[in-house]
Amino acid sequence: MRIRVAIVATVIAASIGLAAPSVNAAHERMVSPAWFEGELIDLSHDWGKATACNVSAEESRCFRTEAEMDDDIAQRQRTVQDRGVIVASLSTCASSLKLYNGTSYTGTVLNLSTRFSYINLSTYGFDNLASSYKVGACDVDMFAGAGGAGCLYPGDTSANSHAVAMSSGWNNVVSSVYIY
Amino acid sequence: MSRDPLEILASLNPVARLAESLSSDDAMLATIIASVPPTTVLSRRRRRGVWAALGTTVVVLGVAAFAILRQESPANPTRIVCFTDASVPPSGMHALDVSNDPVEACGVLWSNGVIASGEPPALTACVTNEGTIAVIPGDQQVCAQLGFANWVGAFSDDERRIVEFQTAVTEWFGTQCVPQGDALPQAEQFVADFDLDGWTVTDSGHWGVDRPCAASGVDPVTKTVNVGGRRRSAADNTPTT
Repeated sequence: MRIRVAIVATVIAASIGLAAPSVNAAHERMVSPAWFEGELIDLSHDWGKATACNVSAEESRCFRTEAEMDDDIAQRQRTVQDRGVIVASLSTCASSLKLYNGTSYTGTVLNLSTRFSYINLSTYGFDNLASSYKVGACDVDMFAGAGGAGCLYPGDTSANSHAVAMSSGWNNVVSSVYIY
Repeated sequence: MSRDPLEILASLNPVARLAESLSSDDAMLATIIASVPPTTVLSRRRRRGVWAALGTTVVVLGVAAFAILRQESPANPTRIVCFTDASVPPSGMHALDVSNDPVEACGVLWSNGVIASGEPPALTACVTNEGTIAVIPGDQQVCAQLGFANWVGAFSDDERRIVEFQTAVTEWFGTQCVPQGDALPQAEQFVADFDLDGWTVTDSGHWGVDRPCAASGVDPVTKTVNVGGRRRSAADNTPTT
């Protein structure tokens, strides 16, 4: 099951940063879109009256209370079980690790958000291609080999860090990542 | 009597008189050439028929080719990826955990602002050359156009079991600090519990004082479970329900 993000708005405001840049919502792409009472809100900008959100890569849904969120999660799980569908219950980070095959955040970008598992970049045809990156809300480890093998990337990969170029000797080297 | 075979054959000619030239032959030939062959209209009809048959064949073959687009199952059923455009490589890819309906899962990203905001375009689930399901904007032909196969459209029981296996392993090692000494035996126990044949457990290293907990990864393509050291995490000992 997805790890639920049920946090009071004030805590979230502190954790994602009150200094987050304001969003011209009408014309700029939302950083952390989520559904709240039928409308899209940007969690990185303003939670409005929402106090609890169930965040996933597929869809983020917010509620006025944690109890409402729990009810929604339970209802969706029952629906899923009734339909006999397959659902990987892995956790996802609130915002993605972005890997670019060009320096300075250019070229193809691969967005990754699955936590707690080595992710082989060959799965996405992105093996040995990363040339710059932006880390999302979760710390990251990057490795030269598949499955967490090989050397550990020495650059800063803590939450919200970024680099226009890889550390020396690491251009087009990363083969797997781990998102905390 | 001559025994020469050619002479024997010549003597057997039943129309020997045709070799004779008569005075009326030239006139008869001129009459024939001047007349309109009665078969011309029929020939046109035949030619039209041939063209119609060829056209029908082409259409039928086209329909058949559409119906038999190459379909495959993913070598790695645990991940899906959403392409932002129909090119290789695309300008953007969004990796998702697998779900029963990959097209629907990616469709959400096209409507909730992650890729776009609005009605999702036509999307098709393909299987890439890496064996991963990729949901690509376009109709059923887009997979072949990019050199991919179409996804068969449903997960097999074995694929579901691998997804469940990956989920169990990931939750076990990702939400608690399993020490190095316990990590490999526990990973091997997962393989045994799920009755997976041909799978191996590999130590990826990176253990240390600052990396005392086990990280894991499941690779269905190589049938490998990787286990290696990681830092402590805020998620350790956090229930995932």
